[in-house]
Amino acid sequence: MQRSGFMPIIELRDVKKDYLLGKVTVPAVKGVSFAIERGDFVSIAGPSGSGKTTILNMIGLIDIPTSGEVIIEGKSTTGLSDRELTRFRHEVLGFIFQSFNLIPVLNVWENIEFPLLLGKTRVPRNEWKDWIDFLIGEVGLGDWKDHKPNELSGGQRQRVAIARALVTKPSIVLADEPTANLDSATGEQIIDLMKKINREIETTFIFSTHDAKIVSIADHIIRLRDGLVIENRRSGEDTNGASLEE
Amino acid sequence: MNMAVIFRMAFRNIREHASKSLIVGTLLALGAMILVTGIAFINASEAGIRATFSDVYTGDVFISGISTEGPVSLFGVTSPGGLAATPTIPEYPKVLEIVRSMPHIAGHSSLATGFGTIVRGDEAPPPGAKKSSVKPQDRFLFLFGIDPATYWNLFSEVEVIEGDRLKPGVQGLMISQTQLRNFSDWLGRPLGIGDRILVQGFSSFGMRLRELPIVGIYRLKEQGTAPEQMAYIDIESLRVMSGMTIGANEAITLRPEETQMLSMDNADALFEEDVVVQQSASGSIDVNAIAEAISKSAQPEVLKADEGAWQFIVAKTDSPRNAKRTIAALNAEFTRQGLAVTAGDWQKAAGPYGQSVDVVRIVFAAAIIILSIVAIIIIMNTFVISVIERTSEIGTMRAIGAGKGFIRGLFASEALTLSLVSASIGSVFGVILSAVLRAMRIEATNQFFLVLFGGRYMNPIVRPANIVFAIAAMVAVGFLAHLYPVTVALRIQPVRAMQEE
Repeated sequence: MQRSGFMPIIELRDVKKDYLLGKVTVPAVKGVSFAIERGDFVSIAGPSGSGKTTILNMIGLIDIPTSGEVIIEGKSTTGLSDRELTRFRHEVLGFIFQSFNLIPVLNVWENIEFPLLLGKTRVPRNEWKDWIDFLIGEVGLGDWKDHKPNELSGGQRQRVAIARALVTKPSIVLADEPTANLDSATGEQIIDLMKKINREIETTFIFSTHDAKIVSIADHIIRLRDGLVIENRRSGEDTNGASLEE
Repeated sequence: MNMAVIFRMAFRNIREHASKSLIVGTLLALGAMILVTGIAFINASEAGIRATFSDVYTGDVFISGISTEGPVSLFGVTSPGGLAATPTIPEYPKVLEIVRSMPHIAGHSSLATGFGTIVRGDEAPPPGAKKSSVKPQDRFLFLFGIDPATYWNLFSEVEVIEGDRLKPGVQGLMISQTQLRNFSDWLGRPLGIGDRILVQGFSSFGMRLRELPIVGIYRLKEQGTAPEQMAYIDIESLRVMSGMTIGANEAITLRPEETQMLSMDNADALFEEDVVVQQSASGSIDVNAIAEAISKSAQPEVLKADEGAWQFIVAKTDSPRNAKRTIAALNAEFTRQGLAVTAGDWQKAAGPYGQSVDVVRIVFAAAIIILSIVAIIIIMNTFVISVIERTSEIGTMRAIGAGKGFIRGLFASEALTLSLVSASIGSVFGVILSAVLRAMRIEATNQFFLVLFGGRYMNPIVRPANIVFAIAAMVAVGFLAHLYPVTVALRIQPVRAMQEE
């Protein structure tokens, strides 16, 4: 639900996504519309096969809707070229993957630095060094920055992934089941860390999960089932959008 | 994108995927080693063949007349029918003067060549002599009609082991030991210095007989580069036998009835009644008279040799390095003076025999091309496997903002780094292998190895340019092999990053 006076940072308008499996067309998302506000901590929840990852992929511009429109920061992403999509992903979006997806040959510091090296704009090295060191400090890996991903625990790897997602100072960070490959205690720590950063630097976080405990931390919950939104509410609102405090 | 970062990642990826890198690297290193060693053999072959040909009979510079029938070498004109006459050098004194005026010419000699075969005269094989096993080609002679006054100074590699060298004004033949053995066998009598043998010369002007004494038996210091049938002959005899005689190619005036016979398009008409053929009074063919006439045809007074006729001038330069420059200068001068003469190098002089270097080179190039194609396919497949294994990694890079150019650059730098390192290592091994082979002094056991080694011993010569070439070629192979895998990598969509590894 959209609050009055707020400009949505992301808006989905009747987005559908079909996959072709052999000769059969399988609808993964069947016409979804919602808006997300800047600085929100958003959970896309639902069981497996509900379309969480597909929606996240379309918001992350790594998958294209079969129909409908994805609008990010007021700009329609329909019809953008591969080059424009790449630039958009680099400048506006950050990704946290379920399997961490760190570059195996780079150490912690280099993995975090990596997205900066892909940019066209030249930033003085000292400036970005301080920023990377700050992020490493934020995710608590100050003593691990020279280590390779295979020398880290799952939780540590996901912390690196969070820092990497934030390094280009994106307005949106997308996390696909960021706690799925972690034990529950580590998962909670990761969500707490994301929430902390969300508060501190006001980055919009959108994460998919099927863990009810994590869902409850979100400011905005979008619940899916069978490719359709069955619940779209802000924390403290009921399913109809009315404030629970009222 | 910082290229240093791409190369750093490329280098680490090579290390990370050690087994695949090892397969690709070994292939590339092996390729470089084969290239370095192979080219070292070609160098040796080329240098050895050039030196031996040049020292034995071609010189560094070869001057001949021009034939419209085909290229001219010391072995005549290579023409489709094989019957074209070897042209003599027109305006020989003028050409000789030009040759002498060249600053780098250290020595020169004029010569003419022809073909002949040993024949029996009226001598019959001794009674009870067993039939000779000598084949017709072993009686064949490449006759080098030389100017002894200058020739032996130019070609000191010809060693006389019995008798004497041909001297100015002396008629005769200098043959090899093999020829002496074959001719003795075929004639059924032992031959030696001073013995006379009947040589039948043949050319486009017909056949001529000449009886000549054997004046010397020779041996080449470096065997295997000159044809085994080579024999030296005095120029006068050669000119007669090769038809280089005054009037040999003059126009023949036919009587009217002869012209009429030639114009008959029906051969049967020759036997019609109105064609009158005069017979001798006796009505029989005088065989003795024909034999006498043939015998007389071999006499110099019957067919006067054209004393000024030379087919070739061979020359040596003060350094082989100056040969090319001198040839160019000579050709420029010949053109300027409007002379139908051309200068070429030792390979042109040696004709079909000099092409052995090209044959070695072509065979080697073909082998390298086949090896390269095989290597490219193996390397390509290995790279494709690597790309498939790294699908998620590539998808992740694409998802977090890496453009296609970055992915292309990453794989290109991996291929180039691996190729460069492997080819460099392979080249070092190639240099070591060449040095070891050189130190082993392996001796050539047959004609093929003589050509391949460029001399009696295996002596591969490695030059810096060859190492650079080998490395560049292997880098090119590596680069070509990575092109298809890169297209596979570029087809990986960013969404693949989301899929579980």
